[in-house]
Amino acid sequence: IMLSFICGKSSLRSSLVPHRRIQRIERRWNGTLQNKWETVVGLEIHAQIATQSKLFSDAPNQNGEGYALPNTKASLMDTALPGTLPVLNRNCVDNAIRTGIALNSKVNRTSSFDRKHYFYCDLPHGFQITQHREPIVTGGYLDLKLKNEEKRRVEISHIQLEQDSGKSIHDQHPDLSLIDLNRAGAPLMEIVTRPDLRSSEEAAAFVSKLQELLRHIGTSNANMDLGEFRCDVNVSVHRFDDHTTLGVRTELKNLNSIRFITKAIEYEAQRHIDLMENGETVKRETRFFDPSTGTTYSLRRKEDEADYRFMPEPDLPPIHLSEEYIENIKSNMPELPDVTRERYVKELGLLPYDVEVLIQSGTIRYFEEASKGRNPKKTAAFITNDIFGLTRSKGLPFSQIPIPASRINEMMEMIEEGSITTQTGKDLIALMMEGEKRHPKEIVEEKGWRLSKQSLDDSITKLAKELVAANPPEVAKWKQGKQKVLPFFVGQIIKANQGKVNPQSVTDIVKKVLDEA
Amino acid sequence: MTTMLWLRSNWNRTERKNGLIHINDHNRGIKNEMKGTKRGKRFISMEKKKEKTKREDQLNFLSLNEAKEWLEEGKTSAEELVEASLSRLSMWQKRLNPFISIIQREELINKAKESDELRKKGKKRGKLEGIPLSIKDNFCSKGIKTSCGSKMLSNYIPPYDSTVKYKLEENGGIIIGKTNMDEFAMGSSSTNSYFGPVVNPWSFNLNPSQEAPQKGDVVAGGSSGGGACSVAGQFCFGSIGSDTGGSVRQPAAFCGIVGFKPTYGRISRHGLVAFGSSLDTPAIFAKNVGDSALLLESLSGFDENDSTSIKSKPIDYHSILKEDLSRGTDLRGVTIGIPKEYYVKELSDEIYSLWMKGAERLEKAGANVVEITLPNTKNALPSYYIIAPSEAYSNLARFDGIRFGYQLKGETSEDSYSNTRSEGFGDEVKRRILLGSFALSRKSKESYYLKSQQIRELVLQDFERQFNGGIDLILTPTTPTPAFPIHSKTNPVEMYMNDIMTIPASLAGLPAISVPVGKSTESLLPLGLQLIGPHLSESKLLQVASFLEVEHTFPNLLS
Repeated sequence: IMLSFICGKSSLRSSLVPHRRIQRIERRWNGTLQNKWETVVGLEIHAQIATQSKLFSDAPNQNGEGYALPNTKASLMDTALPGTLPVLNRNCVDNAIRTGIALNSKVNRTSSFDRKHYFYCDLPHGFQITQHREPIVTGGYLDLKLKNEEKRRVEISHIQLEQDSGKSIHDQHPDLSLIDLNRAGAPLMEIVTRPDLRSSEEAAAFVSKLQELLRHIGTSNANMDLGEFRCDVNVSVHRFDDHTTLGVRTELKNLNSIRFITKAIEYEAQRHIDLMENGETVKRETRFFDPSTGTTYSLRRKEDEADYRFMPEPDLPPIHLSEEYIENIKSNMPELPDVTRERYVKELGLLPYDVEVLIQSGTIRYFEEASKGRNPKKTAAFITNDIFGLTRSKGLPFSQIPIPASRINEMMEMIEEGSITTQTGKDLIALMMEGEKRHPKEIVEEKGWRLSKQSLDDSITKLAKELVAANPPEVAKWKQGKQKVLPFFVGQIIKANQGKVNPQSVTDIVKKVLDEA
Repeated sequence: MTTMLWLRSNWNRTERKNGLIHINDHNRGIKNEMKGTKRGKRFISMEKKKEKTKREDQLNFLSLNEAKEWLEEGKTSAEELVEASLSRLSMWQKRLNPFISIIQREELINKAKESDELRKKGKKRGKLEGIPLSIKDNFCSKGIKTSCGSKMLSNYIPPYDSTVKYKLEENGGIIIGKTNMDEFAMGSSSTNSYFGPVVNPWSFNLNPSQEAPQKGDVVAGGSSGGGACSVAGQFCFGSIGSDTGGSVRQPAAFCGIVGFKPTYGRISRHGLVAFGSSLDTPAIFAKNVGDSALLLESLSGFDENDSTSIKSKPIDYHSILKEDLSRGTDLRGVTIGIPKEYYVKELSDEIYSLWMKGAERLEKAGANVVEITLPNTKNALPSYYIIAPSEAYSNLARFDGIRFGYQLKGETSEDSYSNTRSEGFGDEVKRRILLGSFALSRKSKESYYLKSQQIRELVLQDFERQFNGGIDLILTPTTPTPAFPIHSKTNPVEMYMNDIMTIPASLAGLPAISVPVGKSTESLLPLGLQLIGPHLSESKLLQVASFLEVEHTFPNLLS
């Protein structure tokens, strides 16, 4: 089992990590066997772009779990019928630009497409259209916060647009392979990082943070289990004291969950270490992760890799983007999660926990609408406690909260006016969660939950007078100036009203009655 | 489902055994019908029959513009034009082999009748209303076999129409069939077709009772030889081929007609089965320059299905030409360049002297003729024969037998690919796929593919330097020699040399037109000159080309 693989090489490490950290780590691990080695990880992520149609055809791009019969979502172009030509989907370009901006990258004014050739039955053209020479986005970074609160900057090499292949199904027929071209031509962004990650935990943290980011800006749904976010991992290990070269890397495939990514990196790094400890060398190869055993096995050696015979795609002119075009997309970008985090805590006074829950559940927009013009802290509390609790117990994802945000906004307004209590709010949420479609105001009227100021005040006054009459010792204490007795009265009145009263107005009335006693 | 007959010559015996419907069935259809008529009118006089043939000849030999006028003046009908075309074809198809598929007679007559109806109602669809035309068999046609002259697609029926076919029909044209070609448009002779070679209608001693090819027959040129033959043989009034390195201009020159390759992107490639995508240009065969102008107008324009097509307003080229002629415009102020690099050792003396005569003619019309230099011309041919095969290697990768086309199964999927492609492709196609595969491979890409791309850029710069330096158009021969006997060139490189004059304009994406200017005194075969212009200079090209062609009328062929 791997212990830990920690950074060490200044040439490889991001500029953000201070030098003294290296020294500290070296000191900490000096003398043990494991610390002789450092793991280096780089990722190649294929994220399916969340557009309506495919990258080069108008066939629908299947997102999410929808099921379609095989080969019903493939156009003539996707099946590579002779004479068909690719036509670039502008939405895919915009989404790649959006992703680039979110990753602080450079969006290239000119980019172009290439053909990557290989024969496989689910690749109808015999080539994949990709961006080999001039990708649409280069550079950029994503900052991670590590467990020890340190920041780790992971640099992005580039993002390229490319087509997905179809699917081959080998286990449905005794002697035939079946092919489904519904996925053929689906739009992908290949996001390639520099080898800046130093452990399986860091890789896992990067993956979930990138998923969060893509979902937040809406460029990919990024569900790993649905194949919308696929991750290839490059792993190498080298001696801690060797600051000149990286170890030989192996590429790991078939990692379709964060858990597998973690396990595969740990297994593979240990395999490299064992080899080198035994004086053997690591071979450059592509390896397959077998989740059932938690091990990896060789798929193909570097020398056996196909010659892809890259060629410029002659059917597509280069993409030329004007500065204005990029600026326009930039100005319409939503706020990024890290900025939201800071602003919510600092400006809106939300609890960091609530902010994290809102961001990770992807309900920022819901919250924004629900809290517009209302107390953000109270609204956030309603959402993260009551609404999330009930949504979860109904087995729904947070993207499908059954109550429109505008209804919550309306409810918050009534609470803030004092026309209903917080408890009434909770009851309203429970009703609406069960399918109540009317406006909160209508429900409140029908149920008679609205607090009529005068009648309520009268009933509270009446109750307060009764309590005062029944508890002379407490009244005496009040007369002596002891404020502590207030909750004794207020609490009982709120309880008697099942919480559907405004504590502040109860307090005011109690004070008045006590003074008059 | 469109019903039609697969036409094929009888030369390939193995295929005849496969039970495909071939030329004989088609002939039988037509003959039976004639017999029927005869039975009805037993004593039909020889006189009347002769008259019918005479009338048909008269119609078949009209130019596109003449046929259009006749239709407009009510002197003929679309039905009569289609009948005349079919009648002539029934006599010559077997001997010349211009078509791979001919649309069934009944369907064509229905289309012609529909066109005549529309005209009567004053609802003419466009400038080609009721005109019989043909397209090369690499333009996809919904419900009609599109074979590309290959065994690989010998039974392939596309589910959609190419933009070229769509536009011709949108303008009222009646497509009578799909023309024969070198397999996947690779060749300069139209002898690499799975459906047999095309014979040049200028070949000697043509006897319609024989089958193609006979000893002494000459090639129609290629790869769009069937299209050239369909127009020169007077089977239809215009034809659309594809020109990748000269595949329309060269056969046009060999067959004595106009071959016009517009600027790359002027006509959409959507539905054209790709050979060399960065070079492939739909191009026009016509009986004269005016006819080619009319066809260009109907076909050009941006197509959202082809990202490399050019956004341009439709230009009424034909009216411009007519106006020029009526105003008696001459060529004063036009500068014509004669590139000295085109004086190659392969160039025949006859063509050289015609070239000089052509230059003189333009000079007489007022043009300023100067010698120019295009220094990278000699590298154009080798560069083309790297780039085009590289793109072919890529474009033909989809023919794996899985989704469409010919398939020969094997034990494994690799075997299946290998069997399918070994059997489905002919030798020239295989040669080019291998060449492209080599040129793009990791080890040779730098010295072959990338070097060729650099040469291509230099060739374009050569042209641009001249066009920016005051040269309006460039005059060259179209081919170094007249048409050669079928199967006389066995060395592929010797065959490739045929494209030496046409390739530079293809590499540069420039518009170029081949115009018939005379006949070889030696072989009595037609010869052509080529005009090359800057990007989008089609109007000027047509104007000057009309000066080159005016004085030349050809004796009627095959009549």
